[in-house]
Formats: sequence, structure tokens, C-alpha cells
Amino acid sequence: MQILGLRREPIELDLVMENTRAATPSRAILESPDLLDAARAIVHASRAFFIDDPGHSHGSLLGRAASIANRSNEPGPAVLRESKTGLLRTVHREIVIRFESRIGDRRRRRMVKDAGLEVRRVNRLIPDQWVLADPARRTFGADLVPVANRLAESDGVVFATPNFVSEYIRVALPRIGAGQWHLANAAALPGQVLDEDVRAKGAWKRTLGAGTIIAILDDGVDLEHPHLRSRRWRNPNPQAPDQFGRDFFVPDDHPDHYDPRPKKFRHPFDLLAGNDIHGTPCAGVAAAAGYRVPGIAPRARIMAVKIFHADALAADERVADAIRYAAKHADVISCSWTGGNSPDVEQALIDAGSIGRSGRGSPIFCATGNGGGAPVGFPARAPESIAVGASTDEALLAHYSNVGPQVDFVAPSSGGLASITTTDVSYPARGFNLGTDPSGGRSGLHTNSFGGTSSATPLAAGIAALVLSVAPGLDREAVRGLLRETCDQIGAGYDAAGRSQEFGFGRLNADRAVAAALATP
Amino acid sequence: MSQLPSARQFLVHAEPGTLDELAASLPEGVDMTVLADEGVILIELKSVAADPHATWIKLMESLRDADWASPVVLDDSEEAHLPTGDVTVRFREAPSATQLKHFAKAHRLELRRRNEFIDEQVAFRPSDLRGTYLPDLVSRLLTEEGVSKAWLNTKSHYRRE
Repeated sequence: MQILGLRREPIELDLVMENTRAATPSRAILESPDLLDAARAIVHASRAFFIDDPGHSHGSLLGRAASIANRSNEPGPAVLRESKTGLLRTVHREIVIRFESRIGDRRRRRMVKDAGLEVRRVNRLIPDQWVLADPARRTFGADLVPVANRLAESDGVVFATPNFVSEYIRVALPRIGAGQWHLANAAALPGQVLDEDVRAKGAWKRTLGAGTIIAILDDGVDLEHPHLRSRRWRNPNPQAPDQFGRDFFVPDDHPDHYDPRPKKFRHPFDLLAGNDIHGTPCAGVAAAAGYRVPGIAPRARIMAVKIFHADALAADERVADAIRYAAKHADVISCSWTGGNSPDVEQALIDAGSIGRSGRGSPIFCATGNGGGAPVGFPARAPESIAVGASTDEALLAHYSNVGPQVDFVAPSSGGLASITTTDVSYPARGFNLGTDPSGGRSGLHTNSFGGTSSATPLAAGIAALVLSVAPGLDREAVRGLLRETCDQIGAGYDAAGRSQEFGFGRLNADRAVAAALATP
Repeated sequence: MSQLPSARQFLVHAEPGTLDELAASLPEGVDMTVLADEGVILIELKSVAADPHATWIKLMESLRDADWASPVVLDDSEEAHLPTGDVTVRFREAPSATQLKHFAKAHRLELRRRNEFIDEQVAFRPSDLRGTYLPDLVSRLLTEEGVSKAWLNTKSHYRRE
């Protein structure tokens, strides 16, 4: 549904909960326990604003609210969610209307009466602004929206909307340190190119990715990491065994199947070979919540899907099903790996187009590979994948980044003067950083040596999450197109269509991408 | 989406503990590597086989202690994939349980599992795995009218980039 803004522009709203007392939550609520909690919280917080009788005093607000809550025969407030921002708004009985000054009192009152309403109070500061309600107590909650819209379209009305109690978010934007130059490059090192980054700051003025889910398909994600724990996805079905994800490397009936955390480790514990230490840094690049080492989408949720046990051979059937599983729950899928061309994996990439996001498809971001200019690897080269290469802090193609006609774009990563700082496996003495300052800090919670097309890929996936957080209606090809169109062309070799074998359509620009997403109809 | 049988590498499954006998019964011109998985060995011919199917037949005749064997399959980038013994069929329409039963019987297959996410996709295993040349089985399945796609299930090397 929609309400009309001050300029008669439509503002889309989703009905989250029609009537809190009737407890008939929408599908959105059922699919998101967080949303249910938020809806309940805002209803509880808004009770003080729902005034039952005229002539109230502020001192009796809570008492009035309590009396409303205790009435079992009266519907409770409705909860709606603004589609573009995800912010919640509740409404109980009132409509606020602003008349043009030229409209006389008699005409105003006739309009109010014709709408089946009565005047509850007049704004003390703006006499043209009234608060209305249904004296018969028949029109409540979401039913007020069409009534308000009809009034808003009337001659002589400046605006008319349900009298919402709304959620406002005070946003402390994450701080970006020098180690996260890929988000905002201040050229702290001699030779770094100023602003050679994905323009995170600009994007974050509009969104941090709330409401989206990014699936990380890899060797596991340390979901207990202090900067990932608050971002972990939780299955909306509290009875489901896969509360946080699945480990597809082991059979479905294996006791570890529903634990997608890193499991394989062997000495030396700071080398990728033999150790499940890859997925955690990827997850951090995408959506870490740390104030000082944030991901690009620090309010997105991380869904952990384990498909590898370090370097062991993996069953293609299981990798394929992991993609399908991720598509079932996640908005965006990140795959920082390559392998041989498997028919099942190739089919799964196609299936994700119909399984994901109610048929709109989950965009699947895949690393082109670190073969030093070799052809783009699989699955990145598959038509359904979005192939991500790597650029550096010197605005060059990373020397290892594979090339070819399938490259969609590049994202900043290692290979220049600096690598990427991100979350590291937090288990003691495990991970790229075993607990030294030169490696990213004595806590061992971060590594400053991550990179490759492995790091570029979740960065791109996180930018897609930012896009989808403000434009959830885009299908996966639209997401790909929007990201391509908003890239910055770095380097050279672009053809007439604006595409380069090395850089694809260029280096991602999150700020432009989010702005473009907001402008989509 | 190709799976071409290798003319040089074959995967052999055998009971652990029979590897010595297997090694002893290998024909000339064949190297053997034991893979990490217990009971799975990789056989590499010193020269390229003119006919992988014929080579497979000879191998099965020589390796009497082997459970089953298959050529390694190569994709269009010539990367190797190791068959697991299962085959997957993607039907044009989701088959009923009865239809699956008839299909399995007609092709001498055992039903392994229906795909959790895609009703049209089912995994099978030949009833006589030892006597089945898997690439030919896939070719036969692909001629069935109700079959959209079919492939050998495999294990592969993946690289975390």
C-alpha cells in the first residue's frame, strides 16, 4: 500500500502486522523473528502516544495507554514498514490533515464529516493542521490509509496521512581506518591513489544494508566472532535445525551438518592450506559489524554455508545444493572460490534464479580467480554468475586477477601497496593472524593481509546488499546491470560498449549504485 | 557442460586392504596412486588409451578385487572430476514415486535420493556398478524423452581464491 507525501509522491508501505492484538502477523513477520521483535517494541513504545479520550493530560498518557491495551474488544495498532528504508511505523486511530489557509472552517468540517471522522484536536502551533479520528471506533490501523489518501487528494488539502508513531534511527556511521582503504582511501601510504575505493561513506548516508541477507559459501564462518555474532542470520523458523546455516561438506545426517563454523585446522595454523580460515575474512568484508573494522554492509545479515573442509575434494552435488539452499534464504550469495565446471553446480546457478527472492533470483557473486591473468574460472564464467575481479589501491588491475569477456567488474583488494583488513577466525592460535600486531593486532580478531579476488567478491556482494536494501524489487539481472552502469572506469582497454577484458565495466562505486537504486521506479 | 571420459586416468574403488592385490594385478603400462580416501585409487596409463571404454573393460578383467571403476571425467577446461558412482537425472517434470520406480527398473538403477530443493532432480546408482561403464549410462539416460539432463556425480578440487 502507499500513502501520499507532501508533494503527492507515493510512499510505499508494507503491512507488517494488521492488528497487534489479533496477533495475525504477516508472512514478513513469520520469516523474520527480528521484525517481530521490532514490531512489538515499537507498538509498546508507541502506546504512550495513542490517546483514547480528548482532554487528556500528559500525566495520564501511560494510564490511557494501559487502558487501551487492556481493552480486549478493540483492535490494537497496525504496524507498517516503509519499503525503501525498512523503518517501522505504527498507527492506531488518527489521521493528521493540513488544510490550505484559504479553506474556511465550515468547508473543513464538512470534509471531515464526509470522511466519517471527527476532530480530536487542533495543532496549537499550526491551526490549519488537525488530528482526526473515527467517532464510531470502526476505522483503525491500516484501514486509515485509504481514508487519508482520499483526503490528501482533495482540493484544499496540503497533506493527509495516518498519524504515525515512527521509528527513527540514530546512525553512528562506522569509522573507517587506514586498513580499510577499500571503503574510503585517504591515500595514507605514499603511492596510494586518493579516493580509489568503493565510496562506502556516500552509500552509508543512505543505507547500511539492513534487511538483507548475504550467504557466504566457503569453509565456514566464525559466527561467535565478536564483530560477526550480531550479524549472523537466524532461521525464521525457530524449530528448524539449521538455525545459523548448514555444513554441506558432511552428510545431512552427520551430527555436524547444522554447524557451519570452521572446523578443520592443522599446523601451521596461519596458512590457508589445511585450515578453515577463509570464510571468516570473507564474511567480515561483506558485513562485519565492528565499529572500526566494518564490512561494506554492516547491518546486513550473514548466512554461513560451509561447503569445504579446507582443501579436501568436495562433492559437486553438495556444492550445488549449497547454492540452492543459500538461494532459498539469502538475498545475495558470495562465492570466493573456483573449481572445475560441474553440470550440477552450473544447474544450481540457474536454479537460484527461480528459487531466490520469490522468483526475482539471488545474485551470485563469484571470484574470477587468482591465476595471474588466466581466463576467468568457473563458476564465475557461467552466464548466471556475476564475475568479480580485483583492483588495487593504485587504481590498477591486481596482478593476479583473471581476465576475460566474462568479467563484470572489479572491486578493491590486495596486490598494490596495502592488503585488506577484515575479521579473522577468533579461535585462539588459529587464523591468518595468530595474535601479533604486525598481522592485525594482538587480539587475533582481525587480519591485515587478506585479499585476492576472494576479498573483492564479498565486497561486491555487500554492495549488492546495500542496493537491495533500498530497492528490494530488483531482480538479479537488474542488480547486475545497475552495478555495471554505476562503476567508475579505471585503467584502460574499454571498448565501445564500455567493457574491458580486465576491469569489466570498471571498479564498483557503492555510492552511485545506491543512489541509482533509490532512483529506480 | 561436458563430461568427457579421460583417456588416461581411471578411478578404482576397492575394499581397503586389497590394494596390494590390486597393484599386483595391474596390467603393464599403468601407474597407480592411492588417493586420500580409503579404498580409492587413481590409475594413470602411461600412454593415452585409444578407447577408454575398451581400456575400462580390460581393467575390470584384470582387477578382480575392485568394486567398481570409471574413467575420470574431464570438463571443457580439461579439469578432472572423480566419479562417485552416482548419476543424477534432471527430469522435464517431477516424476511420481511410481514413475521413478519404473524408470529405475528400466535402466537397472537404484534410487539414491530425490533432490531436497528441485523435485525434478533425482540421484541414482547402477544396480551393477561393477558392470556399468558410467559414461555410456549417462548417454543412454539422455536419450529418454522425459529426461532433460543427466550427469555423473563427481568430487572435485576447489580453490579458495
